[in-house]
Amino acid sequence: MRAKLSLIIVAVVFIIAGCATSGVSVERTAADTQTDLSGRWNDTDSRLVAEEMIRDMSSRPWLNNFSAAQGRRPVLIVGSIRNKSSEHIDTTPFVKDIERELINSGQMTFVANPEERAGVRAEKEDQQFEASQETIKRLGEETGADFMLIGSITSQVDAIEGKRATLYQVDMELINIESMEKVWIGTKKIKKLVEQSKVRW
Amino acid sequence: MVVSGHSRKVLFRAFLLVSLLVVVSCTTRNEPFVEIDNAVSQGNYAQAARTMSGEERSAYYRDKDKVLYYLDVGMLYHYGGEYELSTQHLNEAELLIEQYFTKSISQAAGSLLLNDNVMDYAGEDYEDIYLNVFKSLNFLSRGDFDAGFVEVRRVNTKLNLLEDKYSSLAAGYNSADDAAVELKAGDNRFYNSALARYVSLLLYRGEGDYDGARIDYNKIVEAFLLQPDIYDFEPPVDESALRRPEGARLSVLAFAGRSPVKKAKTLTIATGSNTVSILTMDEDDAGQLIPTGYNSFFWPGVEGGYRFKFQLPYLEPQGSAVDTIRLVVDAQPVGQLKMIENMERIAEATFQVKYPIIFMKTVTRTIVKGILAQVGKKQLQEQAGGGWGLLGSIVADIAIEASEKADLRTSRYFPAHAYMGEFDIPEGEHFVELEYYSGGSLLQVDELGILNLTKGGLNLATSYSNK
Repeated sequence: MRAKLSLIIVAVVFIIAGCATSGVSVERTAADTQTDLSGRWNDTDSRLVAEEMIRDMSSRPWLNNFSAAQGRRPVLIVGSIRNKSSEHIDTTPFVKDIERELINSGQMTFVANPEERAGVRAEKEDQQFEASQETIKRLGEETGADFMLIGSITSQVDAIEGKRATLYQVDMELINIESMEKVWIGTKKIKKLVEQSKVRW
Repeated sequence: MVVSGHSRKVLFRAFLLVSLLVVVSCTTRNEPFVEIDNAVSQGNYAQAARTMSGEERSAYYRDKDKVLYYLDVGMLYHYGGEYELSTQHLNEAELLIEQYFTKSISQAAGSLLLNDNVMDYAGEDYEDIYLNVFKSLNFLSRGDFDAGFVEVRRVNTKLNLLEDKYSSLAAGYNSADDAAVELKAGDNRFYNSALARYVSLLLYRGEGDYDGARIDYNKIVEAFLLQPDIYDFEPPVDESALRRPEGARLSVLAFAGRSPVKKAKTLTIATGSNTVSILTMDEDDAGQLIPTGYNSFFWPGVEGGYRFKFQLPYLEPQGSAVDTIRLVVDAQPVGQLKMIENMERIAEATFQVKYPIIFMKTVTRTIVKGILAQVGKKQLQEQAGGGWGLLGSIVADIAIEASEKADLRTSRYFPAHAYMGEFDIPEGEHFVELEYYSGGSLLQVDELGILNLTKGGLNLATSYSNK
């Protein structure tokens, strides 16, 4: 009986000492699978925002109005998408999703943003000295954008111990660069409730 | 001496128990940090951080002390100007603190049997707040205003949580006229950080959101009113912080010294026939136990043979020699900074709130273990007899002493004091220095270099002195 008790004590002590396992398992999954692990902003949120913005932006009257008036597709540039939330959120994925879908749909044209332009312009300037006359790209022939896409992500957090409700709001606006008119505003809200257990084994 | 088979089993189990207790109760001690502390004293922060990283990490931190590792190394990288590495480490600390909100039942049970060192170090409230403050400063140092603001919003969420948890006083204060409210002294519970609120004020103001800045200003005032034990000095911020300056306004945040470390006070209580003896030992800088007191007194009726060893943690301030910080712009003294947070005091207050629980838990555990050991020793004497019984008793005492270790874990490299100052300075480029003084003697000059101060801009300069 005592021997058994000793064994139990030894086992308990070992469990307490925390023999952690470091096994890693990897499972491939479809890129659009919803994976909510920590409750923070993730790829699913990014995708939902992109889908909503693409659907909304391409179905509003501003697009037909511009095409009818100008007889061509509008040219857009991505401006500042500010993160005003309480999480570090990379806005690049959903902005790229929006750009890709709208370019591929043939409804709009995008020009490079200031960061992208810097690299391309450096290349073009280099071509003026290094490239052959037949292949050289001319300076001052860039396409000027008609509209700038700007936006922000905000979040409101309400929390008590172990529970957190976060409302993310992504606002995007399309501004006519010449007239400064706002021709489209899109909003996507995502709310999450995260509950964390107070105890674990 | 003949040893029976049964006695051998008993002894084997006792030795096994000793080994296990020694292995599982090993603690984080102060000794390995002597070399690191020397590097920090010489201002070699990044080198100190790298020394503790990689393969050497296990020499300084156990697996259960990951939060401490990330906090300490993150702060050292911050002082060393390696802001990206600092942020990476502080991020890890924050994620783990969040994860450890969920307490392990098995570890809690282990702490009742052995000591608190078997539990994951989950960080103190103030550590969780300060890591965001320094992450924010890291981002701002790299010119990433939005990311710095994200950290400030996280601080605000955490402070709101703490306020909801601990501050019934604040609620009363907020809902009544100032004159009608009877403000009571705080119960030492830290739930609002003037430093964190000030960094938040700076960012809201830098954004041009003066309503947001005013809310932070009010929270700073509240921190001083409702936590007088922690903020026992004059508030350094007044309503001029909410005024739009004519020219540029340079905001300076300076930190000095180092946060307290925990050391162990060891009390050994032994009973003889009608006597009780108490031996007290403190820990020196190298972690060696030094006897500091011995008392023996007559206690009629006390049974001999009991031995209890207590180890209780206490905070030893590292402090700062700095008492004055002066801003010098273009070789001209401009003004002095004022203390906004005694971070050392907050660490102490947090510890004091927890101390009664630590004390009761330790005493209860030790007495239970002491009584069980005494019963076991008697049985051993009866079963094994003579010399083996004595040996078994010694082994049992060693086992209990090995398991009874104070939890000395705390972050080591947060500053002791935080200072702030706001100065109206003409727009444009200026050469900015901070002079740190102690008793009128110049200790250190931190050349912040040429800063381009703009009207309406954040214009934040930060500095640290290890003195």
